Amino acid sequence: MKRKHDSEFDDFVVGRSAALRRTAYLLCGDWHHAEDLVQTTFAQVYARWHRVRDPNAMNAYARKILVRSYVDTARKRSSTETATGALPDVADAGGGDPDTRVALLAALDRMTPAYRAVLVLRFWEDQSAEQTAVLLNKSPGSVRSSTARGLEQLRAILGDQLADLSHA
Amino acid sequence: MITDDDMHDLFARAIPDDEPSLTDFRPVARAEGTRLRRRRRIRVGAAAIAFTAVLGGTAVLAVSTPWSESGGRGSAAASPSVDPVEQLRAALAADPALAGSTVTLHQVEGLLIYAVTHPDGSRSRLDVQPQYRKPVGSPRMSCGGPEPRACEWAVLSDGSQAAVDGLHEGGGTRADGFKHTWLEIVLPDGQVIGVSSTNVLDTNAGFLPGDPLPQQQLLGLAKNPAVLAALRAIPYTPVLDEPAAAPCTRPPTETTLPGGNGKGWLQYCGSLTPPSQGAAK
Repeated sequence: MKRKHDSEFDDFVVGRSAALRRTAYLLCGDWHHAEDLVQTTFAQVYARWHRVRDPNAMNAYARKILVRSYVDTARKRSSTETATGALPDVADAGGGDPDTRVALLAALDRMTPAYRAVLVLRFWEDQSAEQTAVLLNKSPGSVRSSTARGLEQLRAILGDQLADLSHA
Repeated sequence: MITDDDMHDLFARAIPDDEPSLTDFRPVARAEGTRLRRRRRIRVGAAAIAFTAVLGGTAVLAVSTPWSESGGRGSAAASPSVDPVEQLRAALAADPALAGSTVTLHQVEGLLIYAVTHPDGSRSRLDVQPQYRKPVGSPRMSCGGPEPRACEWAVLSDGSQAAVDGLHEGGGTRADGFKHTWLEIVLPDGQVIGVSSTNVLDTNAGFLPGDPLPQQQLLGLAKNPAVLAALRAIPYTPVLDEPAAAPCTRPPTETTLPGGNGKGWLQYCGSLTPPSQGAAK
């Protein structure tokens, strides 16, 4: 039985790693931190895996752990992290659209972690307000207002750039 | 007008095309997940034992003496549990600075979080993050915060170094009402134990009616040998997100850690190497 569970867990990790890491990257803007978040998520998922009846339900659980871990660590980091003198890796040479990437990640970095989490869940993960509410343990109304405030915050940071970037 | 699709595309473009290769998350997830599951079982077992003991004690009291000679607060410490999480809870509850307070375990997964209810009904959150950083060279300790500021530190009886600090804006409060104090203990072997106190117990449940434990109280906890021993017994996890080499940003004359108690600039910098997985307790 344990072997079967482990095998299913392996399939789950292989199937979900890339997507969860991308979501984590959008949340924190750093690949190393993103991997830590995903690692924490999978450890917690494994701790509950033996109780799983429907492995598909673990998708939502993993997403929930990931986002909550991010919000928790971001809140803590916001007041304890030290200056390293090194720039975050938002400006690393990657393919695609570096200007958009740098501008958006820099703006996201200045956002309140809870709003950032809501925007990433709503617009990247395509979760409805109701689904997001369940993941974040909030009411759907609170998620809707957080979405509006998050977008407002993003607009305030990016100014006209937001419209330009979104239509680029 | 920005649509949901526009936002999705925007996020998609924020991710570089050449993503780093994926780590195999499975080995660590299994090891850490097994540890979490075991810890949860111990907790459930300890709770069952304590519950049984309480039931048994109640039954005995009902048929024999009307009073117990032992105090209520001592009962937690007398629990037969050997769970380090419970031991720490009992040590915290027995600390003189928390006399009359109730300390309960709030969360074990992820962060180890305790809820403290003070005699006046106010509440604080206390969380513990045992981590491991193997210092290379002569690391110095940081009180945290991107901006330089003074923190208070002490050298403990076992040679550990402890520093406390807190949010300084508006006297320990962030603009949104979040309050935070923290203690960092660097053990002689390089293990770092972070203890943090805030006025938020659950991220989405608003602020607690009360303040975090004051800095001096946190330092007092570090100086309490029973609390320090209990903190050291909590299994640690390797730090994976620590920069491999955090440059020192303050002059050495300010950041060198002297050998006595005092106030000054402290910064944990230098090369930090996480230990191998096998080193974890």
